[in-house]
Amino acid sequence: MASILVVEDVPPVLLSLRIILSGGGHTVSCATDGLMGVRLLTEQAFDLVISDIWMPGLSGIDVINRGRAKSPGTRFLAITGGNPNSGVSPGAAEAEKFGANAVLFKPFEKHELLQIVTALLAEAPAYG
Amino acid sequence: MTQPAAIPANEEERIARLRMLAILDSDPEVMFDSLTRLAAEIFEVPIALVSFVDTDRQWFKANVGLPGFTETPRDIAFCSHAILETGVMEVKDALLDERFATNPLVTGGPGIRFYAGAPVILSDASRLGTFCVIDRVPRKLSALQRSMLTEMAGAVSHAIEAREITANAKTARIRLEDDLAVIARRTEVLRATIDACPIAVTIADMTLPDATLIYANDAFSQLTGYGRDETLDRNCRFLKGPETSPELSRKLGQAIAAGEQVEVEIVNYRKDGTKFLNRLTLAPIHDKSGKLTAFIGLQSDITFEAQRRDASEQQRAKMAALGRAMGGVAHEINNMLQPVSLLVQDAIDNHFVTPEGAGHLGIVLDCTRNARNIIGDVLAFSRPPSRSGEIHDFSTIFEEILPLAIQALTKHITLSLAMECPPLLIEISRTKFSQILVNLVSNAVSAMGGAGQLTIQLDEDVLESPAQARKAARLRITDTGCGMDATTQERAFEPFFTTKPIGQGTGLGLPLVYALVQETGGFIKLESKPGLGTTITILIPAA
Repeated sequence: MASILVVEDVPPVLLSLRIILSGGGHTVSCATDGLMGVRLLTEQAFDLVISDIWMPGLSGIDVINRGRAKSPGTRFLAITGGNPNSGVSPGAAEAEKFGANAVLFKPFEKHELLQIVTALLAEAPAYG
Repeated sequence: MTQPAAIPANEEERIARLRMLAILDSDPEVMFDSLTRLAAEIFEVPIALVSFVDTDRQWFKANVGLPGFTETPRDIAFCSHAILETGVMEVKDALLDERFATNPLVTGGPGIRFYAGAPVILSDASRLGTFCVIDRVPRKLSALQRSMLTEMAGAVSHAIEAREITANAKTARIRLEDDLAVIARRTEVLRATIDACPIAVTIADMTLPDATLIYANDAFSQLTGYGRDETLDRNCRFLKGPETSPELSRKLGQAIAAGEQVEVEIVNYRKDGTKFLNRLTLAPIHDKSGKLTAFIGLQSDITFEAQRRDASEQQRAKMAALGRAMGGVAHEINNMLQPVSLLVQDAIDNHFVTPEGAGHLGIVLDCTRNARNIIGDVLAFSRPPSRSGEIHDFSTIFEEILPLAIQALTKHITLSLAMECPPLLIEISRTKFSQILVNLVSNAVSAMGGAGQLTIQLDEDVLESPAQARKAARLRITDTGCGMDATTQERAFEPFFTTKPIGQGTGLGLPLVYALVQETGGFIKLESKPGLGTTITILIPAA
């Protein structure tokens, strides 16, 4: 099973993500803002980082960029509530814009989340 | 032997001067005739002449006593000799003078014995001829008589010069009159043109103390209500009033003082006190030396145009502000929906709910999905406009999307299609075109309450924009539904404004269409009559 860092400033969203991912058997670390996320990234290697994009202070894009610099093998999943076409499967263009390997637009469903997490972890080299 | 006179040194200039006077072969003139008659009386001689010495003849301008003679050959002329002298040439008896003894004028014809001639000398010293007295008997002039003859020759030369001045003046006047006539004609054409010009034109004379108006055309009278008699000789400031911006007045004043062109949109007042927004252009007119002589004023009433411009700017600003606000709200709601979606699904999956409970939670999930779709529509407003990069033929993409749009039709609604648009490429994404068409058809269907006639027309039109006119695709959808009253029409494009019962519409259909059409650089128009139906026309510019 994998180690996953979730960076999300809205507590209920963070909580629900932790519940679902833990339920999927993963080890989940949580950060409630970008700075905390970056700090955790320097302390520990993660297989996957899931980060919100619009956050006060350090944005998700900054988290992803700094995280990638520190840990090139980590996969990054951006999540955002700012897409007009939520429900439409997000394209590679948006992911690239955020510097992430994939993007999910909120509100996404449980099966969408688990599907994309599985796919990203299959690509990632395993740590520990 | 007759001895011909020598040719004067400046002969060429002398002849040129003579020709310039245009006096040779001219009609008799009173002044010369009188002087000649007077001389004959005073000197008591039978013959007196005013004679001009031409290239090969002498020609008589005035002639007393030699009827039938107008000229004689130059080589036998006494005067040819006389013009060489400074003073009077006197031949007391020609028979005794070897120059003239055998002259045919002496031996025959008039039988000249006595000749006395004073040269006619113009103020430029040219010697054109003589004033002379002749007798058929030998004579001798007294000193007084010689001096009188010289005086009279002087009078002749004055008369010649006066005659030339008069002639020149006459020529100059004729030329001037011709020029004036041409100028008058041109001025008349110019005046008629400016008179008929549909833009109000005034001319202020900057050389007058208060730069007062010296011209105003009919359009100015129509615009301001002031007749010409109330306009001329007044400074244009009579158009100002309480709401005229002092700042713009100052700007005008500065431009006038600097002699520079200026354009302002300024509040002015008609004679009846009503105000209007005047688009005023002042252009300086300089004379050849660069001196400011006048200002031309062009004025047009743009009150209505400005109101429309302001209204559409306000509408745009309102839409943009709403869009931004909605974007923020939508983002928050998406966040709130996220745990609902995940945790409800998790409850169904992992928390031993009863089958009935699972059914209820399924409804919650459906609601979450619907909410997500509504929020998606809302967010369409907050997104910055983007170029789709997709180019489609208007009629082709319409035919592709139509089946999707007419799913909303009921069996009592008849559809009439008029596809009259020639091939025309437009830049719009398939998704956006489908959002436009589906929303418009669905609105029309709701307005008709299940029965009626839906007409869809496709055509080519022209989109007028400030910069240029462009070809455009025109889509017109007409229903025979309930129509809209004025208030509803005004708010039809406002987000969340809906006439449908709660739960049946988001109030985002038309606003979304509006936003999408705006994004293409196009235009949307709504025409509606309560009880009769609604027509929505959209224009999408050609790619």
